[in-house]
Order: sequence, then C-alpha cells, then structure tokens
Amino acid sequence: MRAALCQAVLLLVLALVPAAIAWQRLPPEKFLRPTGDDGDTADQVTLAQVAAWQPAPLWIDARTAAEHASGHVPGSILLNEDTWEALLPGFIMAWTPGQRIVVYCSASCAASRRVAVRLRLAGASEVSVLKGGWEGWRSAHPEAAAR
Amino acid sequence: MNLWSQAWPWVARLGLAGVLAWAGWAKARNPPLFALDIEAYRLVPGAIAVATAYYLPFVEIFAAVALFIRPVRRGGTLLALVLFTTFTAMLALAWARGLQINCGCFGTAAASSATNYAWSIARNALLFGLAVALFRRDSRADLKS
Repeated sequence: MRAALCQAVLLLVLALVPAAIAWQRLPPEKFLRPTGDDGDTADQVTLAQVAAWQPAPLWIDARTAAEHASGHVPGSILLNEDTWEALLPGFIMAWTPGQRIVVYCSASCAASRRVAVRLRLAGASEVSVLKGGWEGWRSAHPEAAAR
Repeated sequence: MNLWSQAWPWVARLGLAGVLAWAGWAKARNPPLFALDIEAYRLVPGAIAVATAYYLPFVEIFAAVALFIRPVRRGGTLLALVLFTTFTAMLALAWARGLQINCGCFGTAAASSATNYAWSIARNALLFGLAVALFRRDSRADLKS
C-alpha cells in the first residue's frame, strides 16, 4: 500500500507540469471573471449601464432557438452551446472586432456565462453578461418584447 | 478459464484507462469552461474551482497512462479509486440538493444537457469496482515478483 501511495504522489507531482503549461497557455484571468460574495460575477452589467454605452453593443441570446423565436432583444444574435458550431458564423458576420458584446439568457440560467467564456476563448475581449437576463430586459421593455 | 484470468486485467486496464483518458482529454482542452462546470456544484470557492479545472484533467490522463506502466500502475489505480470516489460523492451531493447541472464528467457539454445522476453514479460504481479488482490483482502480482 505504501508503494502505491508513493507512486500516486509521484503521478500527482508530474501532473502539475502540464497543468502549469495549460495555465500559461490559457490564463484563467483572461477568460473567467471572479464571483463576488453576492453571487454576481465581475462581468455582469445592468441594463442602465448598457444603455449608456456608445456605440451600442452586440446582443447575444444564449437561450434555445425556440425561446429566441418566442421573443428576444431586437437585433440580438442567437448563439448557444447546443448548436455552437452552426451559429458561430452568424455571430462572426454580425460582430465588428472591438465591439462590446452583451450576452443574456434567462435570469436563472448559467448559459450566458458559459457563452461569454466561449466568446473570450474565440478572441472577443469586451464580453459582458446581462444581470437579470431576458426577464429583466422584458420587464424594462414591455412593448418591444411583445412584438 | 485460464485465458480469462490472464485477459481480464487487460480488459479492466483498457476500460479504466479509456474512460480516464477520454474524460481527462475532453476537460484539458478547455479548462475555463470546466471551471464553470465545477463551480456549478457550489461546493468549493471559485479560485479552487479554477485551479482544479486546470489540474484535474492531467491527473486523470496520468492515472490512465500509469495503468500500463508496471512500476507505477498501482499508483495509477489508487488515483483512479480516489477520483471515482470523489466524483461519486460530488454527484450524490448535487443530486441530493436538487441541482440541475451538467456534471462536466466528460468535458464541457452544454449546460442545458443536465446530468442523469442515477446513470452517472452507477457508471462510477462499476468503474470503482473494476479499479478495486485491478488494484488487488496487481498488489498480489507485485508481491509475488
């Protein structure tokens, strides 16, 4: 048993090497934003903050195609993980490099955060997540959401 | 019968190594997304989730490779046992708390594809049993040699 333990410790030490290389190659601070004590992540923005942005950001809808079809932020691009490869070209066509991006999903879903990370991995740097999600936007724009 | 007694350790080794290497490789390709998978369990602080996301996939890969290297194969099996135990405990806790998450077991599937806890725990139990049998067999073999 002692020999097996020593072997396991050796393997654990060796595994640190590729892990450190991965950390260098994909530094976490570049793609992930820390979560505060209130549960909010540092990349979350409110509707009021987004409204003040000039030029306007590109809105990304991280929900399903069915949810997007039933109502979405005007001008938003559907981009979710389920059909990422198929939807990514649509995003590339719509996005101007350097343009800010705001990702939203339902208020209780985690998809917008995951899509934001994927977008940063794809090369976009100014990616934020909408606090309150689609429900928050809809309650602030009842007329537009009904269209 | 004799043929089976010689063949099963290799079948077990291949099965365990295949699962560990596949799972490790899928996670190692995208550690930032795997960090979100770990965070979704709400068991560890964000910084620990991130460090784990970068380290754990390589522990799985090294354990898989070690299963075929005689001087370290029992260490590899021991790591596999610890990993399967930890994964099962995390799944059970998430299930008990009613979390609808993707387990992140084999990389970064979409968050919308929620894990079937019963199936995942059953799979881990099978792999755990395989690893226990292999560890006992290798321990006996190493003592004899």
